[in-house]
Amino acid sequence: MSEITLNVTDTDGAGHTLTAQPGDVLMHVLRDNISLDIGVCGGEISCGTCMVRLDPDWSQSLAGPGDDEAEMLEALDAPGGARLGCQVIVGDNLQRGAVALLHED
Amino acid sequence: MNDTGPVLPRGYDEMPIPFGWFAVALSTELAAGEVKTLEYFATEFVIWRGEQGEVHAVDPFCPHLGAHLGVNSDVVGDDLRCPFHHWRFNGEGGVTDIPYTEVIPPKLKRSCLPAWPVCEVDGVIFVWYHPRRAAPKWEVARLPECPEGEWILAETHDWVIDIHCQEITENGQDYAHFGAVHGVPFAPAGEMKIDGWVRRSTVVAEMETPRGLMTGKIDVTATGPGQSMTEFIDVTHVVQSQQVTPIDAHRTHLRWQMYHIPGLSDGRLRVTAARMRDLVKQVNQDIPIWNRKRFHDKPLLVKGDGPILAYRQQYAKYYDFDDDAEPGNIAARH
Ligand code: FES
Ligand code: FES
Ligand SMILES: [Fe+2]
Repeated sequence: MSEITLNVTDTDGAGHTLTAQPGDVLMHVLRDNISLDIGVCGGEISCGTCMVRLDPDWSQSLAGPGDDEAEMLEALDAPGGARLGCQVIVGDNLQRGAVALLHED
Repeated sequence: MNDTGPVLPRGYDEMPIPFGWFAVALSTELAAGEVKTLEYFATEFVIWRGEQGEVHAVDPFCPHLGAHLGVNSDVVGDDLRCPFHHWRFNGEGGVTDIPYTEVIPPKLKRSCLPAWPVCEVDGVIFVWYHPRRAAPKWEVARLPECPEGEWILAETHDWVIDIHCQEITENGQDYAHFGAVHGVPFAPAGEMKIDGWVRRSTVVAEMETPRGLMTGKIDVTATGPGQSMTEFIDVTHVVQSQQVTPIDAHRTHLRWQMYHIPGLSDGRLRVTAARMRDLVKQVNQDIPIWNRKRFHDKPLLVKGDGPILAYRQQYAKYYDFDDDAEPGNIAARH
């Protein structure tokens, strides 16, 4: 199984290099490595604390947001291209990815 | 009544709770801003009256962290506010406010707390019960047209009886018990018609009046399993609005509101009061039997017993829990 390297920028602008396994939920990787304030709702699309922007290659390889996610992103006033990390599964075709955390309190 | 429960099973364990509109409170029992937890249909739910007067009903547990919405909750405007973290819910079960978060998730705004259909008619609050939460299939019936002016509410009564609700409304079709239990000297001559979810019977009966026995007309209209109106037309004109509500399959809450026409002379008022007293006396004669009887799926019936099986055949439709269940039509003449 090939590990995936993620370069994450947190909301303070600090960089983190993390590894993930194919099939991981991105929100879980961010929560377990960066902050336990990420993913408060457990992936129910009701907190927005997992909001991210992905690098364009990664983003384009994914199916777009579902209805509930799109609606929540709109309610959060999310910038274009933002995703909820709880709805993103790390794919096995991915070698590395860049993630910017967008949620601020 | 008995201190100990019955020794033998009474057949109610096997009987489902029917779907329909059921009375859960009188309007006067729920003031604006008041919240109540009610236990019917072998479950519980919370009702409240908003400050504008509208009544709402929801499942009891807050979808957030599970507080009971009937305990220490408040009515704020038209909404119910949970005591635990002050989330607010509207009558559709949608979240209208969370005081400590900026964005209320749209799907929670739509609905995240199951709400019950509610209807308040003629001083009674009804909820629609369906075990699969299918939408209401008919409307709550209103009082019949008052021939002149407005009906006068003279009396209200209620009883909690150890019996399945189907058995209480079967009583009107049980012609032979009128003589044995109530001392009505002969079986009433009647006709029962079933029209969709409505069951009507017209009975021409001898009624006691100060001038002796007099032929009067009794019209019964039962709408669904929970509601019936009986109109007595003779020297007086009385409407007995009755609701039966299952507390569970073994216990039923029976409610009556008794109305008469306005403008009755003293003499007719006395007849009216006597009629009402007699109806209460009759139900008090039925109750001891109801409290301990058994439901026979296959009763032994003979000529003169009335359209009990036709009644049960219609009633079975209230146990057809498919979304698209529709009633059939039956008419029985006695
Ligand atoms: S974890 Fe709450 S919205 Fe993604
Ligand atoms: S449990 Fe009801 S608001 Fe939290
Ligand atoms: Fe506490």
